[in-house]
Amino acid sequence: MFGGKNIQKRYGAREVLRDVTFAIETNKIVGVFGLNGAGKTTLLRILSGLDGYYKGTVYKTDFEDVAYMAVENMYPPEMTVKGLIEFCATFMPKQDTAKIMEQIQEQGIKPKSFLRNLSSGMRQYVKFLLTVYSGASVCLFDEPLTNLDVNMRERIIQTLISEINEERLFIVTTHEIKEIERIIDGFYVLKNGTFSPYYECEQIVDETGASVEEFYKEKVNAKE
Amino acid sequence: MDFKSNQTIVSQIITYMKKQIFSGKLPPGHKIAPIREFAAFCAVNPNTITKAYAALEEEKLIYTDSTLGKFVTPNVVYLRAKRLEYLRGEVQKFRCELTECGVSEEEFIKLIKEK
Amino acid sequence: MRKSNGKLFLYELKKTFLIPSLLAGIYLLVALFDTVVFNVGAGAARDYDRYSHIFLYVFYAVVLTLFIYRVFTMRKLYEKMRIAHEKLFWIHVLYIFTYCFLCTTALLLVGTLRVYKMKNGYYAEYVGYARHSLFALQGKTKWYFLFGASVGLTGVITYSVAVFIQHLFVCRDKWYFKAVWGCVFAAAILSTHFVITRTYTCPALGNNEGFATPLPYGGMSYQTYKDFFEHGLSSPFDPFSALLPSAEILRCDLCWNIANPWVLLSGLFVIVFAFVSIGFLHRAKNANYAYTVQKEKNNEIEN
Repeated sequence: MFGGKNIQKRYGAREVLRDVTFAIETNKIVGVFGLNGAGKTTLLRILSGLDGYYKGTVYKTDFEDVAYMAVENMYPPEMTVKGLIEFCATFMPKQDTAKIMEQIQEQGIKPKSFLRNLSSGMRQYVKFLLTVYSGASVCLFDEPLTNLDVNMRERIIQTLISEINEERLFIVTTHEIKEIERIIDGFYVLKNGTFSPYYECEQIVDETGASVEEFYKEKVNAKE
Repeated sequence: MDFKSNQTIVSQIITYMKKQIFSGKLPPGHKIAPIREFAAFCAVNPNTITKAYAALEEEKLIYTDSTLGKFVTPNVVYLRAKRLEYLRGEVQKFRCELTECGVSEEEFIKLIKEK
Repeated sequence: MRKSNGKLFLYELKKTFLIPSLLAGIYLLVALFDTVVFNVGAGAARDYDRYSHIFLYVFYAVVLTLFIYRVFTMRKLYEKMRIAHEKLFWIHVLYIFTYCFLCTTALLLVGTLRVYKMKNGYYAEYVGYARHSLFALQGKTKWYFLFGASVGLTGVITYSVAVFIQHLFVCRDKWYFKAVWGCVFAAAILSTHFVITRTYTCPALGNNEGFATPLPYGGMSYQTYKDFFEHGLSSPFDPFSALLPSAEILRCDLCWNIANPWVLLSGLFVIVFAFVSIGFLHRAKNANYAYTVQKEKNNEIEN
C-alpha cells in the first residue's frame, strides 16, 4: 500500500494542494492527470520525500524505497552520466546498473559525457532509466513521455510494462493520455487541489463507451 | 497492436484471441504466450492480459498447466462448438445490420458472391 | 532519514581525496627530493618555509573550495536520496579537518627533516634558525605538532559558516525569521572575533602559557616583534637573539589558536551553532513522511 492522507500544501497564501487522499496497492500502474499548474509535480515531490514542507501524511506499508523521476535537473554541472549512475547505485543498493548501462549505450549515449551536454530528451531518458531500474518498489514518474521522440516513448512504455510486478507500483503523470491509457490500470484526476475518486480504465470504457482521454477531458473541465 | 479507444482493451484482446483460436492460427493444444510476453507484444499492462486470459479460461478455451504454462484446449469438439457459437453470434449481429438497411437474403448472397 | 552511514562516508571520500592528495603529494615529493638530495643551509630552509607557507594557503583554499562547492551543488541530489544534512555536515567536517591536518603535519615533518639536515650540515645557522621557523618541530614545544589541528579547525569553522549561509537561504522560513537567525549567527561570529582579539594571543599557536616558545606574530621584523613583547605579553624573553633586526618572521593566518581555551571554545561554538541551525532552520519540515502503518489502519483509507 502506498498513499497519502489529507496532504495539504501552500506556497505562501496560495493553496496548491487542498486535501489529497488516496491509497494504491502494488502491481499497479496508476496515472495522475490534471491541467498544467494543478499541482502534479508538487504532489510527486511530496510523495517522494523531496519536499518536506506540507501538512498531512504520506505512508507506505511493507516496502522501503521510493524512486522519483523529476522534471527538474538536480545534478552539479560537472557530473557525467556515469557519475550520476554511480551516485544512484551507491544509495540505491538494488539498482540494476548493468541494465541501465546497456540501455544507455544502445541509445548512443557515452557514459563519460557531461549531463549538461546531453539533449533534454536524452537526459530525461537517463533519469527514467535510473528510476525504473532503481530497484525501488514505488516509482514516481513525472512526465516521462514529454520531450521524447516516438521511438523512445515506445521504449518507455515497453519498459514500464516489463518492469511492473507484484512488489512494485508505478505512478505516472503525463499529458499524453492516449499513449498511456493502454498501460495504466486506472487514474486519478488532480483538480482544485484534490484527487477525484480512482477511475479504473476498463470500467470507464465499459460503462461510458468513451475513451479514457475523452472521459478525462470531460472530468477535468467539468464545472463544480 | 492497435486498439480502439471506445472498447475496453480486455474485450478487444479476448476477441483477438478467440479469432486466433477459431481460425486455427492457434491450433488446439498449442502453447499460448506467457502473460508478460503477450503484454509486451500488445504494449499493454500485464494486468490486462491477466484478465483476458482469465476470461478465456473461464470459457474453457484455454487452460493452465501449473508447470508448463497456458495452452489452447485440446478438445477439438468443444472448440468447434464454441467457434460455431461465436460465428452464429457475429452473423446475428450482422443480420440485424442488414435488416436495418433493408437488405434481403437473395441480395446478400449476390453481394457475397460478387467479391 | 536513511540509515546508510558507511556509504555516504565512502562516497565522499572517493570523490574528495584525489585533488588534495595529488596537490599535496606532488609538493611534498618535490620538497622531500630536494631535502634528501641537496644540502640545506639557512637559505634553503628559509625558502622551504616560505614556499610551504604559501602552499598551505593554496591547499587550504583548494580544500575549502572543493567542499563548499560540493555542499552547494550536490544538495538536491542528497535530498533526493533522503540523506540528512546533518550527516553530510559531519562527514565533511571530518574530511576537511583530516586533509588540513595531514597536509600541515606532512609539511611540518618534511621541514623538520630539512632542519635536522641543516643541524648536521650548518650548525651555526641552525641555532638561530630552528626556533623561528614555521614548519619545523625543532626548538618548539612538544605540542607544536598540533599546528595541523589548528589549521584543520580553521577549515571546519569556515565550512560551518558556508553551510549555515546555504541553509539560511534554502530553508523555507519567512524572510524576517531568516533575518533574525542570520543576525544571531553574525553576532556569534563577532563575539568570537572579540574574544580572540581581546586575548593576548597570536593567530598562530603560542604566545600564551601553554607554550614555552612564542611563535612569530605578524609578518614583521624581529625588532617590531620584540617591541610587541615588551608592551603586550607576560613572559618576556628573547629567543630571537640570533636574528637580524630586519629578518622576516612568518606567521600562519590559517591557525585557530587552540592553545587558548577561550579561543578554542569560541571556534567550537561556531561549529556547533551551525550544526544546530541546520536542524532548526528546517524544523518546519513534515516529520511524518512515510511511516509504516499497521495493517488494521489501512481500513481507514478509502479510494
